[in-house]
Amino acid sequence: MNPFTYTRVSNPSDAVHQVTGKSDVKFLAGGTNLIDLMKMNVQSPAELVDINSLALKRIENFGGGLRIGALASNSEVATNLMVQQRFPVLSQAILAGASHNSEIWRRSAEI
Amino acid sequence: MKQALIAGGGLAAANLLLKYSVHARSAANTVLAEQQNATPAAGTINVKLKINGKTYPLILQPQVTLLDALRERIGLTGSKKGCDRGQCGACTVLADGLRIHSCLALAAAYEGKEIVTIEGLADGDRLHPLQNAFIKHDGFQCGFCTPGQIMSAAGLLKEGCPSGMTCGVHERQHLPLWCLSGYCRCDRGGAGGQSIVLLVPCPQLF
Repeated sequence: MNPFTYTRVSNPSDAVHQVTGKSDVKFLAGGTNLIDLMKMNVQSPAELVDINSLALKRIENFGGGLRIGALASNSEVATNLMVQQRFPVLSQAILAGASHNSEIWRRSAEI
Repeated sequence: MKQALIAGGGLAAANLLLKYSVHARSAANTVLAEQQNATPAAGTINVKLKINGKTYPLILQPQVTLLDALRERIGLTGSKKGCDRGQCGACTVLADGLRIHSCLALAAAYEGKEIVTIEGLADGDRLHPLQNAFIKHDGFQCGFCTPGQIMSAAGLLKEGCPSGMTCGVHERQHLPLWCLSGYCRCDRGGAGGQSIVLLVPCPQLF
């Protein structure tokens, strides 16, 4: 993995500020894809901005549907009662992803 | 004869587990002393990791994974590097009670979280019920995947079954599917070890 600068932000405006005007920077969320790709040198950003502290995990009613926060994990979405009752295919699709033994992946991987 | 071998092997394994945890604590104390007064060199950052209830002030490059920090910097080698790709589960630890693959976790991103490794499951010299169950019921062969299997099982028991699941996975006989942290080359995909979880009497053991 290439050396990079690591920054942790705690609010959305700081997150936007950290990436504005930069071309070689990526947000770090669950990391299940990004870290894996960085280990293989498929992706090699010079800077990672850790957004896991942002309050973006909520799953809530919105405009007749649901608004799912970008940091809600696959497991949280798949097991959410509103998702199961109103959008069951979404839950089933998430649980069909990865192998049956990949609950840890689904808990780490974020939407 | 087999029971005697298993019992003896279980006692030997238990002794190894106890001796291992003492050795790990000695190595950890050495690293802590070295890091406390050091100044970060260029390209490194200060990272305080809380592992098994103890805080380790480290100086790391940002690309150091939590797994490498545990094994190479702190000396806690119970978590194994199997695939280093998040697929085998041998590196499973708990972060704030949730199971993670420490090989895909940057150490810097887990500052402030309560990390529990296999070394932290035992209470002093008293093994965790899952550890006892794996020993008593011969739940491992080579043992390489075993820390990850036990940590995944411990995490599952702590997390509880997901609420609202309607596919039956909340039933106890389905627990092994949710326990399975990854891959086992010795023991039919770890099925033997996962069955141990069914033998643990109380779901709120952690």
